[in-house]
Amino acid sequence: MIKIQFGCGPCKLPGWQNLDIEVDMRKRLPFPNNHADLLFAEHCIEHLTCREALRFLQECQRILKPKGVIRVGVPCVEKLYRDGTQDAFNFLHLAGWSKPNRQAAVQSLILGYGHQSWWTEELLLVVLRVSGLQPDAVCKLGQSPRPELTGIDAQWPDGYPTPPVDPEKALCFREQETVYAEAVKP
Amino acid sequence: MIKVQFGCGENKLPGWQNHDSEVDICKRLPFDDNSVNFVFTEHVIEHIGGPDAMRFFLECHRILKPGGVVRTAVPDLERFYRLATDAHIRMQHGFGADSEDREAATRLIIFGYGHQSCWTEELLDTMLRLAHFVTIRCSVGKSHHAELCDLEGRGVLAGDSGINEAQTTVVEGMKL
Repeated sequence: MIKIQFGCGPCKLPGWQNLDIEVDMRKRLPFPNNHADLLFAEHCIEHLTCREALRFLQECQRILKPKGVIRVGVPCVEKLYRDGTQDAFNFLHLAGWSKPNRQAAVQSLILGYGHQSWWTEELLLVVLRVSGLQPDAVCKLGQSPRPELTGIDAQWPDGYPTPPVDPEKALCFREQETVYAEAVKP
Repeated sequence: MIKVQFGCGENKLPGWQNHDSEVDICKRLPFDDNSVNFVFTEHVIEHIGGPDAMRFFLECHRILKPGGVVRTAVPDLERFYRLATDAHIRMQHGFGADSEDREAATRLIIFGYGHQSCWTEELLDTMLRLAHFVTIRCSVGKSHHAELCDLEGRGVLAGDSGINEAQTTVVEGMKL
């Protein structure tokens, strides 16, 4: 079972190949066709332009085995705009990222953090489809219809995020801003 | 009554100030605060990056009078993927899509035409609301404002109005 995570940051998953900047997601991925069973990319394709993200997902489609699955998590502007709570906006504000209101918090997803593209659930699903993948699940943080993809999101190590950011509040914010989608290679 | 179109290309509208590349929409717009009644862009903001588009909408909000409206038409990935006909898929293939199918035809909207950002109706609506507008989702050629009806010229210029219906989303935002 070959499981590869891209853009892992500090979240190293046991049993997975955890890749970060040593693999440039904008280039051809260093794996053969039909190679991997499971792929995971959480909060990284928004650091690519939409065009680069589409190329990356086409590359993921290439390296997945038939029936292989990719799980992608992205911050979604319409989800945070709709579902964000005052707690989340306060969290962003206290962490120094934004004024404590809905408008500023969602604007910060677009203008801040080095983000190069913006996402909604609808857009993510279309881009997965046109990459030759078949989306079959939209999930909440930590949840999946597949046991091997359950509980792999936001597996931050102890001491991360660093103070003054409260990890529990960061996790609440992560849940409110993120759509996780899974897609199968036909 | 001041009506301003940005990125007009060949679609010069009578009674409007029609600006093209002489106005850089990624910079501060050369209009005073609260000075404009209507702003129109058609197939323009997909040529700038997402953050620039957000700033452009904030600039539109600044220059519009209270009650003024910005009307924005963009290619809509989700709509095109859903509605593209065989003729549209063939056309996209002719314009450089790497194969003649729905997926490749939609990919060309991301890869081709110098586009820098991707749009859907939901995303456009959200962006305008973030820029402090009250929004209404429209369709090509239609508006509650007489001044904003029948403005979209792209389909006519491209010789096939069906393509505009299939790929274009239009949202208006009113400044309160």
